[in-house]
Amino acid sequence: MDKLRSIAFKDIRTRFTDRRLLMIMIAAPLAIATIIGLAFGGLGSSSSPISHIPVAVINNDQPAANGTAFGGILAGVLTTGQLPARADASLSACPQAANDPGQDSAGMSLGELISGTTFDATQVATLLAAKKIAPLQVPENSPDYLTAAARAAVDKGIYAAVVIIPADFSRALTSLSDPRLAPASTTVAVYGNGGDALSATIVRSVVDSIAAQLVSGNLAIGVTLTELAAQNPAALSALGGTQTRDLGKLFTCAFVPGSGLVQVADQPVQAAPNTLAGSLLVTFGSAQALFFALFTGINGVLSVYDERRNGTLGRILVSPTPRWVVLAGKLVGTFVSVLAQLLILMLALTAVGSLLEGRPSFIWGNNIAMLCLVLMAVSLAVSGLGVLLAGLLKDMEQAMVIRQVLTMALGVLGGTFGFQLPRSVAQFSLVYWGRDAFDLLAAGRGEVWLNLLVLFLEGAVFFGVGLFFFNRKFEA
Amino acid sequence: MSAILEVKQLVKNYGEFSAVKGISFDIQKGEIFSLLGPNGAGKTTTISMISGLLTPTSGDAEIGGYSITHQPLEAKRLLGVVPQEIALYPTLSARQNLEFFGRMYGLRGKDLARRIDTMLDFVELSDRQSDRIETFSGGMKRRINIAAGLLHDPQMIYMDEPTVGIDPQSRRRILDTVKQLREQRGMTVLYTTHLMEEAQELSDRVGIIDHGEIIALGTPGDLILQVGELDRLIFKVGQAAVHNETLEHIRTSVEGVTSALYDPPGEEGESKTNVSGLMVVNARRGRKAMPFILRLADEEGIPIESVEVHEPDLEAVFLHLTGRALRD
Repeated sequence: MDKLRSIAFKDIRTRFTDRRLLMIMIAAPLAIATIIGLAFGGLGSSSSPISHIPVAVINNDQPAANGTAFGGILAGVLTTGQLPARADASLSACPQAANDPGQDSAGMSLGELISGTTFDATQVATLLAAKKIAPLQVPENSPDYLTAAARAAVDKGIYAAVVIIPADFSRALTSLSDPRLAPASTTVAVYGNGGDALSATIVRSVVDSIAAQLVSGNLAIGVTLTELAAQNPAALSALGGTQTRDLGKLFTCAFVPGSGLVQVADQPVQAAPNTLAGSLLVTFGSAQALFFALFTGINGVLSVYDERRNGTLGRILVSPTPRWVVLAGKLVGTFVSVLAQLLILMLALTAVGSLLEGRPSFIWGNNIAMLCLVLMAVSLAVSGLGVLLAGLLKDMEQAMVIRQVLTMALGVLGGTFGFQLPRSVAQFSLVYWGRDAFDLLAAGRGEVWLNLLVLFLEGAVFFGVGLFFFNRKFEA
Repeated sequence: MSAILEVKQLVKNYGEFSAVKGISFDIQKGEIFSLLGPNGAGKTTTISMISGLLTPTSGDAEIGGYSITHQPLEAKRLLGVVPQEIALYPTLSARQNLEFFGRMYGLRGKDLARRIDTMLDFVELSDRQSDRIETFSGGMKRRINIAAGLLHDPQMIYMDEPTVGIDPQSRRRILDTVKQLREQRGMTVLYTTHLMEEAQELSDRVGIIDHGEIIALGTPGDLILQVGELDRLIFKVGQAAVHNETLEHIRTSVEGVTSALYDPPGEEGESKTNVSGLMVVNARRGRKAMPFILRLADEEGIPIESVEVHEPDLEAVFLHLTGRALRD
């Protein structure tokens, strides 16, 4: 272990005492962070490249006992960018009515950002007739038929995401405002296309935002009524009977997105912690970070060719040091360097995100432990890839060519350059798995176990195969 | 003396091509042994197998009784290697380089620090220990390169052309270092060089390798005698004529002389370059024959202006054995 540590430490030290290499490692990520910041600084303007994201909306919501249909509100906002007509009628009394309710502060309306479609049996029939989706395994009369069809359409890239509003949506939200009912929770499912993670993340953020508003409004009403009931229980039913109109206005005001009339701490519907700018920084930033990590990772281990050329590898190998220790030391040294590089870029992007937000903002999600695991998994995978190449390739000249081609190929597959390939193709790139994990964590979702498994496994397999071929070079 | 290195029928094949064809030799403890051979002769392959860089196709080598194929780690501990190239990290200091390579040999802590101090003193670079290698001159880099190979105090050191590309002063210092290693530390040295005068000056024994085989093995003197190379004496005689009778007299009456020739003077501007006549004598022991020839010339009235003695060396032996100069 001492020798392994010494080799790793030496690699890190030589890398961090090489001013030229250090400039590339540090300057490149910082430059990217700055460019991304400049590119997305004016996010939301009409010139933004992100607009009209195709979304399918399935509204399974059943109106609550009092007739309120929150599912319709959510579906209406997603498909038309506006509240339903009945709700709009009472907007004039809201303090924020002077603003267009569908327009965010940056200037792009929700209708411009998202192009929602109510997904029903007609849509399914059209898609099936046009053979855009394969015939479904689910029977037509099954309650899961629409969902299965929508998911198939998302998988085919027809939609960036499908939003499925559950049957108990209104009932759960109403339970928050009625002091006589026990609070219930519900989940809006957003099924996104992994090959277009950015769009899916945006849709998820929008849905989370609207749902949070609905929750906020209902909680506000609930708190008010509970307070009234506590002060005068007998008046509760009478209040409900005589003040219906005023409460309806209050509901409407509370439900206008962006109102912020009531702040709540507890949200039964999952909320995304990120803003749109944050999501973009995470998606593009992490893709670039992974691309540069590939360079650092592969280059780090391929320095074994430099060492062979200048004789230091030979000098190590004639010492009583097993070959696997030499490669493992290189792997660890590179792993630490990649990790440091990724951390620097993440911090830089966080700084950019905070500047855009105008307040300190950590854009990578709240699950720090999982984030650390993803960083380690990515670092291991790219370092392992370097070991594989060190074992397979003949010399530095060959390595230079293969490194360029491989890095570009993995970058393209993984979506580094702004366009997304279908997930089934993108999955061949470790860049995809890393980027997807960062996106998921930033969106407040912790389901990155598969990503971790793939990345750790790739790192281990690459190292094993690379070591096998590295040894064979000396047996030849 | 007992053998520190025993090479037994080492073979290395690359497909149909045989780079090393069953080489065997040994090196005694405290000996300086030079392995000579033209490029492509199999010298580097042989050394790579001995030092554990390459696995032999067949055969084995033992260092201090440890098989390089079966006990490679133990064998490698006894061997130090000084490669031809400057195998150091240029952005690290001299001390950091020595620390790293010392650790590769299992040295730690105070023991490592003490060994580094000793070696820096030995190569007289203690005052530059904190400077980056990239700021060193070629000769200084060579000395640190040697120090890195000696750091773990090996029983045997392999030095691959350690004087390539350095100034005469640094070269002299390195040759003195090699002698010190043997004289003061009793270290065994396996040495390769393209410079015959170095091999002749340093070596107790020499092995000449060509086409993957050892073609000559012995002391430099033995090898010169084995191939029967002669001293050549060149007497400059001015415009005097040397008659055939005189030449025949030298051939028959002076011991060891095998031939005597007269090369008359040429005109300046002609194809001949010697404006003075030359008498060329080949003899087994030229220095011993010289007084007799000088006396005879005096008796014959032949004025001797100057004498040059060309003794046979390893270069001549090498040329004789391989038909090529060492650098071919």
